[in-house]
Amino acid sequence: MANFSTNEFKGGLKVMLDGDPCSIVENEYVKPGKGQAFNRVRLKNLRTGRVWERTFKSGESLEAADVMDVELEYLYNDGEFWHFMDPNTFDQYQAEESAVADQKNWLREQDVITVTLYNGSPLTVTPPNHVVLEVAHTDPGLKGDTAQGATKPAEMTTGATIKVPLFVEIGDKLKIDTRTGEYLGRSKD
Amino acid sequence: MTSWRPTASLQSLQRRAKILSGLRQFFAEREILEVEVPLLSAAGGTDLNIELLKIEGENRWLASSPEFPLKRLVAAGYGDVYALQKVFRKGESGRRHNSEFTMLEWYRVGFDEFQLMDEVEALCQRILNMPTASRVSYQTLFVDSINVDPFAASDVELAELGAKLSGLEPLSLDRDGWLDIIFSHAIEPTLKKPVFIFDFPASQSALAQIASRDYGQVARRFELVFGGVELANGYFELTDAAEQQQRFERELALRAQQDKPTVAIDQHLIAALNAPMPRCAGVAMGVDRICMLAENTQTLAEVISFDDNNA
Repeated sequence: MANFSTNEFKGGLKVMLDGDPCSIVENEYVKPGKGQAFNRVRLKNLRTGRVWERTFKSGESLEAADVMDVELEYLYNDGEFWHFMDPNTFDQYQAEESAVADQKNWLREQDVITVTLYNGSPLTVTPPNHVVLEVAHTDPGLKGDTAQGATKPAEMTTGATIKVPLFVEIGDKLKIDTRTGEYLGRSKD
Repeated sequence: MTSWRPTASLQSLQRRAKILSGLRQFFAEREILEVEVPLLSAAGGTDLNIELLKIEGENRWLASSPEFPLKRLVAAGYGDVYALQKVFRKGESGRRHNSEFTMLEWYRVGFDEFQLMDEVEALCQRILNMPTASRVSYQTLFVDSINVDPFAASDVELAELGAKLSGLEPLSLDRDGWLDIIFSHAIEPTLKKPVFIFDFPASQSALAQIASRDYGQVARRFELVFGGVELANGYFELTDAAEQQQRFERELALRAQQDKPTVAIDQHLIAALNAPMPRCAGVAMGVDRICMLAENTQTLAEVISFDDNNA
């Protein structure tokens, strides 16, 4: 891969640091009038999501990271790997548990998911902000209970457990915000 | 492609024009003469951390500061002089840097650095409504802020602290490089109120005189930091031609060692120091940064008509 010098660093550039692919968040050129020039850089480690602050001497370079975002259809989980497919080329990808991590309970078969590929393999997955999932299990609904704010747990068919209002029943399709895990409403889909 | 439009708003440039006329007024009141000096010269500064832009085929360098010709005017007996003009530094581009920028530089015959600090302060109070600035030595600033003595600490101690603050490899910089890292990472962010820092380590003397303090050799040099921005850099000027020649030669040797481009030594300056040049102090200020502070902007681009990216 190519190398990028500090003067090419800009937000979104993907580079390798300490063996992990990172995305540059911010790059600030710092130079005391009579002193050494350097760049203070904030980078997001794409594997862990952690943001690092690092300083480089101006002119230093980092290796480019082979990272790209693709839209893939989620197929199934075979117990070990999560399988995805490119709907245009039909190329298939398998993701390890570490790549799907906290997101695995939002994956519904046939949904289109943003998958970040690193050296051609899934590194992380990002489900849509809003998904519609079906309730697999919850305590019986209490019709007519309109108590403000009262909730109960409900388990979705994908494995996610969220807090729902008391009237929600098994088989209901719910709209959920995947970033917060919040119930948004019942879906007619 | 970047936009053809100016990076500064009309209001910002109107305010900038007022600042420029305010600066000229300030110097007129004090009977300091405005002069224009060459932007293209057959010689240039040897500073290890300032890269000059060269005009290919012409054997001319673009000025990185008006310092040398201004000193030749002082040595010729022209008295107090100032220049308000563009300077050029290769590769300096960023939020607070532009490779072409406007510098204000002036010389006061008979002044030392402390008298000149008072004058810089008066100028900033007039132009920027700057509050009264404190004055602190480089050593005291380090000790008070982070409990490290920049003169007594060993090279290894400074490298370890600098590496911890920055993530850089402990062997990647020299002593002054680590001091810059420590200053910019741990000290500068805490400097909200205006402060003059003086008595820098002698190794950072550039063109300032060297003096002895009980803790070591210092450069009689000062900087003004205001709003987290390095705004002025001044010297009680070196007037010893032989020592100046030695410093130029030392820096050129280091440049050659580090595979950095070299430049012809300004023999006119050396001859002028021998004239002799009167005792004096001089200071340079970044005018774009003055405008940035006046406008309270986060970037130089907002006070420059067209910045490095769309010039």
